[in-house]
Amino acid sequence: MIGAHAGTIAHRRAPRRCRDAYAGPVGDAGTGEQTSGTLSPAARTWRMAVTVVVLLLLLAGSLVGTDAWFPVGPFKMYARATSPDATITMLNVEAVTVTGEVVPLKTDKVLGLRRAELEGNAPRIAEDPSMLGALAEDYRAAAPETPELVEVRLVGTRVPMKDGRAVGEGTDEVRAVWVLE
Amino acid sequence: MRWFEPVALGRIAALRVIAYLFIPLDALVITYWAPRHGGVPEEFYRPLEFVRWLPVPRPTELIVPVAAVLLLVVALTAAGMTIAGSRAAARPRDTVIRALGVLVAVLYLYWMVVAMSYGKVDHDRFAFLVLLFVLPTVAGARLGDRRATESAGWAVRAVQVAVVLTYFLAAIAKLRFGGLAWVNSGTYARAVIRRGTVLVNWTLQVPAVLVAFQWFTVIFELLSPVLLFLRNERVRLALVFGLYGFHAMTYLALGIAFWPHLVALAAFLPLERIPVRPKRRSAERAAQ
Repeated sequence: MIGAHAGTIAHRRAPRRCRDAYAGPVGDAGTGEQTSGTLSPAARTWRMAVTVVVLLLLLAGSLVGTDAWFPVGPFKMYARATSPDATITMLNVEAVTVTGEVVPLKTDKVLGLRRAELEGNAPRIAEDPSMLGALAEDYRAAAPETPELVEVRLVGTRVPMKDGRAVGEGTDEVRAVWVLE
Repeated sequence: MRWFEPVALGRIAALRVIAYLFIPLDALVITYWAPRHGGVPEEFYRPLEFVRWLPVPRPTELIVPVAAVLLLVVALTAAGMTIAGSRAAARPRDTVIRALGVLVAVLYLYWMVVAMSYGKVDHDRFAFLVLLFVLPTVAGARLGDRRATESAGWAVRAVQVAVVLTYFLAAIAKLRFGGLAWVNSGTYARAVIRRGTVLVNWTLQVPAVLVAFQWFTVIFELLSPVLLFLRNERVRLALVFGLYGFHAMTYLALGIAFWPHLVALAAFLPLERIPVRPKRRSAERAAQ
């Protein structure tokens, strides 16, 4: 390459004279780049056009979009305001085995279905509890060591808050039930 | 804002290595739940908008592992070639790296369809996706390369803007969905109850701490565009490391880290100054 660069190899800690400066032909016709390291007007134009389109989509996503607009949807993680006196709910799936034992279904580990994904689907499960049946079936297919199940439930553990403090023990509430045949 | 201020090509090469090596880590460890989505009942699949417009296959038990293997092989090849490429940047090799980069971007986007179509969408991917899509637009980048070009400048700038907008628009989303009351709400208390670690459970007895953090979050998110206009590099670097610290704290508190976003955040770092092994340099000199 260029002598000034090569010279710094022996004593790397010495201050570099041409820091970040152009020092050799760079250019590639494919990117509209010229050998001086500058972009041709056409290469600049398409880059700015793409930039503007993506920025507009992103802005629209943030103002009126939904999660389904991913990757330009609103960045709304933790964006909802929870009242300091609200009751917090955490959803889980549990099942009853043929021997009457209640076991948790680890949908996260087995099916990759995280708690937040269960919650995203909760309204639809409440409307159509047969989704729990399908879930149990695929769960047992993915984890064959699971004993035979007779019932699947979507359970919400509720923890009350007062002035932003957790008060009292959590209580469980069954949100949906599906009996397996 | 300066969209085409030249940036050293070495930063692009370094970002390629980091991003392409991050992908296997992401697909196998961090988003470990995504590869299992192929086995989730069809009823749980909720297609993203852009998928409705394009002929994108629905994730199935067959397609998901095939997509995963393809993504990993292509990403690792691109990373390996970028590392090896610091020895000699022959034109064909450079073209292959960039073509592989396009494939990585498209396959990763499909991987996001697999990950984000089951009831929950994450918000730490935007800047990383931008990074993957702009990396192939730069030609001739080698590790440690200090030559600055406008094409590298635009690519780096685009990622930086995406990173900053992720913060800024997160504040806008809080205003949209939570309203002004968000800053004094119990949102962080809820987060701690649901997934707090032993390090932060005490805050549930001292809610003022969590409310103070809510104010801090919104203020810093609204001020984040400052990063794009700072001319003093030391101050900018200090702020970027401050951001890494903030994310480390969030991880310790809630077990949540925005890993892909943290990779994109590295676009602010002068990665071109990482010394390439002297052996390589002399080999490179000998070749010219």
